[in-house]
Amino acid sequence: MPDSTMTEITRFTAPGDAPVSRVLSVGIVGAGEIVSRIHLPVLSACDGIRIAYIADKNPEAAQSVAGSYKIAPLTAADDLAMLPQTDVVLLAVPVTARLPYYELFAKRGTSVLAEKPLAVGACEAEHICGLYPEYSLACGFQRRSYASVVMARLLVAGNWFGPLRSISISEGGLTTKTGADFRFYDDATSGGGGVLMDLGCHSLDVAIYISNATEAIPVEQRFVFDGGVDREIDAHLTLRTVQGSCEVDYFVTWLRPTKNTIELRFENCTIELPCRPSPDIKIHGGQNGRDVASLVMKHAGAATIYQAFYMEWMAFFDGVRNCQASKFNARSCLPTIRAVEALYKAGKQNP
Amino acid sequence: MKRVAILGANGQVGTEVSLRLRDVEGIEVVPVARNVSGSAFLRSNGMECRHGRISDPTEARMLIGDCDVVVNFAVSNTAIPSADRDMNRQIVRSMVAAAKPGAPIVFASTIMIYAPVMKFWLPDSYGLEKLIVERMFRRLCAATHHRAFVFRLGHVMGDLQNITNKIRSEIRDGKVALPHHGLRASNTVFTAAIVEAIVQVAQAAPKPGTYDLITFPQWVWLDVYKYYAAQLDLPLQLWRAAQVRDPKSRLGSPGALMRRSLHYLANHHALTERLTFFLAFLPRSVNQRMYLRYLQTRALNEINALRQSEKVEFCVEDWRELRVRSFGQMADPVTLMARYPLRCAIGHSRSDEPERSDQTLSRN
Repeated sequence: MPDSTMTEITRFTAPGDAPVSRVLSVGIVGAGEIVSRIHLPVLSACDGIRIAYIADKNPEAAQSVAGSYKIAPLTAADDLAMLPQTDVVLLAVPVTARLPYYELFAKRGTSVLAEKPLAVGACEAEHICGLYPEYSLACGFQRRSYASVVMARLLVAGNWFGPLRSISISEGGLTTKTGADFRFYDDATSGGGGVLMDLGCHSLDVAIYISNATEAIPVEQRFVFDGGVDREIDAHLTLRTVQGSCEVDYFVTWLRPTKNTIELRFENCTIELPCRPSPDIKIHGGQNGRDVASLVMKHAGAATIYQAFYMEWMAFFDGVRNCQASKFNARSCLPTIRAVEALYKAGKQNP
Repeated sequence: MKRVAILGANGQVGTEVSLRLRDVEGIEVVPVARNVSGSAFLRSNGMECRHGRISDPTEARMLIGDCDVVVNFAVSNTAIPSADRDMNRQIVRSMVAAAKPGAPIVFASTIMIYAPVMKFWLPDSYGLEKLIVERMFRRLCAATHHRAFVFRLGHVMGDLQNITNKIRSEIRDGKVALPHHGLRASNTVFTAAIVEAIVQVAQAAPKPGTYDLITFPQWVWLDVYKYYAAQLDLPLQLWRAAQVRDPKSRLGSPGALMRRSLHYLANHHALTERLTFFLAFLPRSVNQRMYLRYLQTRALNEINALRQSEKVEFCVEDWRELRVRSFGQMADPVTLMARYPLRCAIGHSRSDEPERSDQTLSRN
């Protein structure tokens, strides 16, 4: 890390320095769909913050989104230093364009919540994590706040059903209607496209998060590529956990219907979580696995998408105020980022 | 060979129609999607697709200018009404302008125009928008000498349709409850019937006009559920939708105020405790009656909560039956679905491998 960055990092607040309930100013870089449809409605409902600006390289997009929320629009020009100083920034521009922003905000001592993926690869992600204190950089794997995921992590950590033997992930669907031009989906070089990067990394992160794994190693994989964009992946991975290892059957697709569930297999039962936000998980037990019970965990986590993003933001804001890393901190996402990269690497060598 | 362009081929209906149409003799299907993400499923099933924005006049000419028939399933649905309105009108303008001179054009509309949900004619915004675009479409076609067909589609049934998946899942779960014992007309149409209508437009030159694409004679909901139960080889178990008594529902009745008060009290223990003091001043018989009423209300609340968790609701909407302006003579849905089979890989798991020879898709 360059010395200048080391010096600048000291500008971040040290534990105990920050008044716990101060109003945080938030800047938003990127005015795409995820910002206008998800982040802004959620941020407008958060207490203790003030949205300072929305910047986008497309002035019309910035104007249109910012106008709806009565926020100042800015054009993200080449000179990034023109962006006003804020406590927090939401970074929601294509991943290939993010590095200068990360460097700028790190120098300023601004905390950043970045939409996933954090970076184009694991090396870059590690470099970016090194620029920030742990509490000050988060990555948008908001499924960690789902009530079902919170409960699953709890019962795995507490060994409620004995050791976790394996995980089976099946996610996706026959995605035919795109709803917009979404041309970046079709561009493998933009880093936004592909079923693994766009959708599958979420369920992979859930598996890693629930099992508290430190590493996910691809064992075998089958990719269906479409002009360089992955549309389906069928893989087998091994998760390294403190307790040992755990096998993962991993299937994500945009080419056919799937169950959209994550199954955690224990010796005498299987726990089934829906991929969507939910307060319930199903427990399949008995000899044939047909005996089903439901565990409902109300108020322990998110049961809707907006709740999930709200919990992500509130945890991040609390972390920034108290200088304590939230469960969304970017370093904790590194195993997922490495696993995605390893899968792509293996898939491209041997599709 | 008639070349038939399917606009919005990546939508639910467009996808299934394209796949069922591809094996029809004398028809060459040209699915059109905005981007390669949308067309991935069709291409993975061996269909060559064209990509571009039909709303752009220049791109539209490239996409459909050489087609003998154009069928439009494309619809903008961003949830921003003004943007959708502009885009849907632009799609129609651009499509009509780009179509080969004299080519028949089919505009897929909806039975929501008839407001089947309502007792009187008051369409929802989707129905009204479609009605307005229909009129614009007919006017533009008349001005450019295209043969205009408007197909007002009912609930579309087919292997790739959400409603079909829902029906199958209800049959599997064994809990099917239908309004009017399932004997009310379903206002449904099968994808194969849409294909048959397109084939007739392409090959038989029927009279242009506005048609309701609903199974004719109409299938009642029971027919639809029986059809899918037979497909699944499962018995169809019909349930009665539970009518849960809700203490709030009869507000006008003489005891309603008392019940509501007791319901409130039953849920506010601190208040109940304090009122008990005043109750002691009332005669014993009144005390007794109030206590029993309180127990009755509490029991009803708890039992209703239990009933609510087991309540079986109607599987389908109780819509008005529509009189159908049918599109000529058509075989029954069973025959049509067999005539235009769906040849594609829609296995639900990795064990159901799609039929393809390699691991890459063609992006022609």
